[in-house]
Amino acid sequence: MGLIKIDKLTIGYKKRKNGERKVISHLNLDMKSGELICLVGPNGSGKSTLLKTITGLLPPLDGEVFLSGRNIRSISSLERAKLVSMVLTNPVQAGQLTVYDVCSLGRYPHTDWMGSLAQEDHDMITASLDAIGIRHFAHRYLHELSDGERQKVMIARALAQNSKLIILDEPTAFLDMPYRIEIMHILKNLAMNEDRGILLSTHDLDLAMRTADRLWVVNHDGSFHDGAPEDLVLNGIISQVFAIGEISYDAERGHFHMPVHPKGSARITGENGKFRFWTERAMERIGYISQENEPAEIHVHIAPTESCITWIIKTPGTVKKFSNLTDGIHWIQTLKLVV
Amino acid sequence: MKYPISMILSGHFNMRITGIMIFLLLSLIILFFLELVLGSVAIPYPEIVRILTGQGSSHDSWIMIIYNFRLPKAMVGLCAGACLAIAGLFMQTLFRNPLAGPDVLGLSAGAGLGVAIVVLSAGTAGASSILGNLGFFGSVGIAIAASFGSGLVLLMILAVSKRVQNSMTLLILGLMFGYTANSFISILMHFALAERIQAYTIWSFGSFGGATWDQIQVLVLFAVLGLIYSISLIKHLNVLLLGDQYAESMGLDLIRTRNKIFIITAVLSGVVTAFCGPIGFIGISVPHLCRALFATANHCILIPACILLGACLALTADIIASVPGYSITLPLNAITSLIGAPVVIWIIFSKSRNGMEVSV
Repeated sequence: MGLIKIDKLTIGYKKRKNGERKVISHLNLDMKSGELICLVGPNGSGKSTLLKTITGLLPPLDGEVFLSGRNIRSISSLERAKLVSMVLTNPVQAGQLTVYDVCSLGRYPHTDWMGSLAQEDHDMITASLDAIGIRHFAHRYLHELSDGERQKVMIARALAQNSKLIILDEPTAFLDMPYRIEIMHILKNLAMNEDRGILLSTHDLDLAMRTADRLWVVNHDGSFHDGAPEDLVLNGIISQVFAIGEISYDAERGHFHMPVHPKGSARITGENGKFRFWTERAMERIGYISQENEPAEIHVHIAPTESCITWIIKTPGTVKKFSNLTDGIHWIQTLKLVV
Repeated sequence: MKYPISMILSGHFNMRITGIMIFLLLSLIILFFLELVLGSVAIPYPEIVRILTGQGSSHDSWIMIIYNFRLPKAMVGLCAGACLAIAGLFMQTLFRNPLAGPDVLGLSAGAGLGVAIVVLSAGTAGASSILGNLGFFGSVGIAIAASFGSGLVLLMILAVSKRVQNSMTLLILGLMFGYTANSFISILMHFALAERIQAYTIWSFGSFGGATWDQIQVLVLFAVLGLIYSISLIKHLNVLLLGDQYAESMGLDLIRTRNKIFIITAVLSGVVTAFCGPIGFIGISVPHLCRALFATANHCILIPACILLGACLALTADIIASVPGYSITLPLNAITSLIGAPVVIWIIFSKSRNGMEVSV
């Protein structure tokens, strides 16, 4: 039995006067436990609407959503909260709550009318803190933490809610790079080790493609694509959905291509590996496409010496040695201005 | 490293919290007795104990003063402080706004309008005594008018609440209801007679005195029922601390819970406003004091704490307002703010020095 089964679902908003604004129509999707799925698409394509509909916060316009085999239209909000938990984009601002307090709130659908915590609840909270690796700051107050730490707390809270499915709406949008990667890593581990299903929307396509088992791609026009990230690149969906103006997706290298005005070609020889890779990147950045053969406008030779690397840059007429790329690039740029 | 749960879980009943609770309870008992002892007529302390224990007293007038003036006043102050503090706590949590208080929904403005209509426009004029002028109404009439006014505002808010998903919108709507009610009051005052305006102004100063035992029974009944009912809201209030959306995602029925909170707030603050007039400041300041004092946002602790501290603050304000030893009294409303504001300012400054800011 799948965690999510979506049957001919149409999502959108009801308007005041009997009208409907359909965002995506006739969706058929499914998700199994242990899967990590990233929902990607341009702004305003309906990612949040879809997530809200799946969590039952927004009623579907048409069609059905089944969570663990149960139709969300026919279950109470408390039963639903036992099947799916949610993490939102904005970090929570709350005073005088410890990390442990926040996690204990995740037990809301399981506790009695007073909300008192039994031993079982405490065990669940501690296990959740351990799974995210934040037990060591369980006693700290939420307002003392950084945004990234706070988002980890919210994920631990979702775990304490003990639902098979966890939905996250752009959980890393406000975080810097290392935290983004760490959170994705945590989520990946949760899906694999705890057999949970994790569905998250993100704008970080690169990270999503490296982590997700499947991508759900929504486009502006309401079209929807489902598949392994690699398939979606190979059949051109990614470049089609994400191309804006001059920015295009480079399917050969797997990243977005920034338009650079080409100035000429560069031939790079010498040392291989990381030095060659970053030298190529630097030349590309200032508009010199690397090529293997002569004749090229610029020839860069990466020469290893005993203790360091030197770049020997040859242009027609001049040769100069550099101990770093900063000076080398600067030299090429000023040189061209003169010519 | 393993921390004991009592340390991690803020608001878990530990030694510190129990200690502060006991301290507050003792302070409340002392303040309650001070309220009986202090007043313009000096009654010796042993006499008060004898009167309270039903052994009578050498002066009949003393028995009268205690039973008909000081004891009712102390009871009303106790209930009013507790109710207003709880109402303020609920509003701050629901709107997650540290500036919210019992009056943000426009309830006390509604009550004020009800009273203004009765006091300012009833009958035309000429009589010497203001109270006599109100005729059959009197203080009971004022209480009924106030309940009516705040009840009407509550009904409007509940009607709107069904259609509004965002609680912040309701906060703004409540404030707008309040402004509208206040502008009607201004218009009424513009056309009213001077002595009626004075009567209204006296009501708006707020006072714990003047209630009869029948009225006190009503007040105590509503207060006790409301406070007991609020225990059932603890769990929902706690989860609302993370915001409406998180609360809903964890299974909270937002609109139903919100309406429950509105009704309980309306009952608690409405009944107090009806009997005592608009008492400012206690509702907004006590929850902050309690959060700072107990270092928790857990309503399981905050509710009893607000009841105790609210009652203490109300009684202290009333004792100061009655200016012990002199035969004058000051407007209660002025005193609650006068002693409350410096305390809150001090809390804000001392907290922000520790890197903590006042929040809900």
